[in-house]
Amino acid sequence: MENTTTFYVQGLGNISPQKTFDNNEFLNEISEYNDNVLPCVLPEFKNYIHPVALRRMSRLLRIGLSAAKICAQDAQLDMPDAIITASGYGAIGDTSNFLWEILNNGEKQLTPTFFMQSTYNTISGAIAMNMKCNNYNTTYAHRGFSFENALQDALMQLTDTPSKRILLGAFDETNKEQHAIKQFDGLHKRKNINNLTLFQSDGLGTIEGEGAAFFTLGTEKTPNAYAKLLGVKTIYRPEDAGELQSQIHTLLTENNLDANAIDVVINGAGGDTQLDAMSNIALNNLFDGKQFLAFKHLCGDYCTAASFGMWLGCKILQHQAIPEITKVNQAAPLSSIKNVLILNHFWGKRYSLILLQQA
Amino acid sequence: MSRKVFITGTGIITSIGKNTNEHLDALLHKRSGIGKLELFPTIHSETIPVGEIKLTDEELCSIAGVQPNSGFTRTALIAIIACREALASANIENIKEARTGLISSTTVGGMREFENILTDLTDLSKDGNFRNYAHVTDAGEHTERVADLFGFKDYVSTTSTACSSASNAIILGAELIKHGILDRVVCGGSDVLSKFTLNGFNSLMILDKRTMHPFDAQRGGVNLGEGAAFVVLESEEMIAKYNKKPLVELTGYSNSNDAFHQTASSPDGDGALLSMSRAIAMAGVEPKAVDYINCHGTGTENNDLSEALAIQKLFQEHVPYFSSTKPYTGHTLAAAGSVEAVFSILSIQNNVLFPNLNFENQMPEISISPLKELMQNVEVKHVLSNSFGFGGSNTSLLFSKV
Repeated sequence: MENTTTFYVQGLGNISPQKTFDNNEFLNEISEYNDNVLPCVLPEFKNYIHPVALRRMSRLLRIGLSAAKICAQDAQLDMPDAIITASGYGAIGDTSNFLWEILNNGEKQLTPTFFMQSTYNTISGAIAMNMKCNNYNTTYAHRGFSFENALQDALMQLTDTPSKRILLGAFDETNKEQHAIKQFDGLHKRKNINNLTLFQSDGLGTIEGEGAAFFTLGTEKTPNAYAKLLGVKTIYRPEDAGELQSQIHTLLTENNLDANAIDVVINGAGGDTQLDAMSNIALNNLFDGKQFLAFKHLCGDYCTAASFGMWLGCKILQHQAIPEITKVNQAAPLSSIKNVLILNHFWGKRYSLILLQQA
Repeated sequence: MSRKVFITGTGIITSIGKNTNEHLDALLHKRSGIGKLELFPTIHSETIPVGEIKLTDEELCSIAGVQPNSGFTRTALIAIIACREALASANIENIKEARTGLISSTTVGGMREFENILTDLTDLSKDGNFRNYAHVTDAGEHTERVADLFGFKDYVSTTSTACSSASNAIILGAELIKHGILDRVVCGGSDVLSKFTLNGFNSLMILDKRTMHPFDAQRGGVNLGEGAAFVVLESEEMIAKYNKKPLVELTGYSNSNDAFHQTASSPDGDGALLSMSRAIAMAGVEPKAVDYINCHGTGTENNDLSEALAIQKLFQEHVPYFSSTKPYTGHTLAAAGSVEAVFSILSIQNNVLFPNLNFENQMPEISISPLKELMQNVEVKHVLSNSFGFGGSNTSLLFSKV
């Protein structure tokens, strides 16, 4: 898609396994975990949600709604023209709770609240209720494409109606059943590691993470706009690194850029050398010598982890600085950081590109 | 870029048929699929009627052309069957000859299989064929099964907004065509009966123990059903290039939110009113141009009153014929939007309006009542289809004669 409209990230709200909920900080303190499951560092929920409403809410709902509120406040957004959310597994916690009740109680004495809060659009509905927003409201739930599908939807709406401001977010939560299943399949590591050693470990499997990252998108360059969002692309089951390279080339060309113009490459590698191989080859071929970053040692891997990558890109562009903890290599120092490319993959089959530019 | 979006094919499987023709036949002969639940064990099988597809998983595998026990969930199997029909119906033989997307939807994906094997799956010492179903709980899984079988590659997505999911899949598809990102896209949804959904809706006490009576004063809730349906959306350029005859045009759509309650509709129908009026406005027609509304009509106390009030408010003295076709199929949850899109298309193609089965008693709060009898040989130009869901989600689609 050729973009004639300019899209800005006008606000951020990120609750993740690192202390990211405070927009005044940028990875100042780093959390370490030693059991391959990375839970969120939580804010004080009652700062964002009324205590009465809070009591009935599941953990994921609290996290998601708080992240959305942080983001809306950051962008001074009172009434979104659309609320778009994304999640690979949705409200997996309440889904599991209800399922175990069915199995353990023989389909009797069930808790309706677990079922009511089990739908993928629970959080988008709760945000609408909280903000009294009757506008467009939808949820994408396609594994490693959920977040990117949501971005695509938002960009189309902003192209049609540039006056819109959209509240968009992605969330997924850790789940012990899913973690066990993925450990069996080798997708997640069985041997415990320290999360910060993810890329120095044995190279098999990844670690489980979670998070809720929200973005306010609009076409106006607001005073605290973090970045321009130039484009997003999903690539389903690419055959080889060549196909990835050609898709990257297309995205750059659509935005009148070439590989040389990219200052920072954010690689959504998960630490499994086999599954990371195609991304690594494509990026090394195109961006040799550039500054490479990684982030899944900080937030773990989950369907919508690309949203953490996009948050990282936005913060880097705003601060014009790169946290050392994210650096994969030490490239020549940059006088300014203008263009950031994020390449994420989920289980080596779903790849996505997000292209950001200094606001 | 295409300003218009046409529908060129349909595919559907529910308790009343395995393809579009069987559905038309059942609709014309008032044949409901609601009955006793037989194909999986639950304590509710004697007391809660459902719209069940009377084909075992093995039979579905055979129709879908895949190996049994190889990881295809019932949700994926019926999606494959409906998608194959939709592609054939639109005369699409080579998916790769144009930029083609697949957007499906589901509420619980492979929960039916997952609920039986959860205990074994979490035991790292156990292995077996059941591990083929290890990754089926997420909504996107069934979509990728369909995509991989037919070779969809250009765009693969899944929506999940509870009972409005498939309608939102259709909206995304239309937008991707209008923005020149895709030439054509297969949109719809799939959901099967499971202990999870049956017990979920039962715990909310909104399941009718009889066959459902939407828009009736004595209505007692919904019957759950299972089904999958897809429609093929194509751009103007594709229609011209391949000299196709579209079935209908998708002229309007809108999505709004009640912002009222996690699972219930707002009592005055504000969200429904907004989604219906915006969809009609998008098509550039007056509300009175709408010939028929295929309602969400779940038969719950709350939905039917709020939907009927919204219809009254919007159409005033020009209320079109309206009915809920859920007494035929049961509520197929995520798939309902695409199942009822197919019914709306059949209505326009065949100049027929489908009745609201089981309606007897006028609701006292409203002055309008649903269509009781089949109407044939009526000119049907514009059909509005409503799908509402948990989370306050309201989606309306407008289909128009070409």
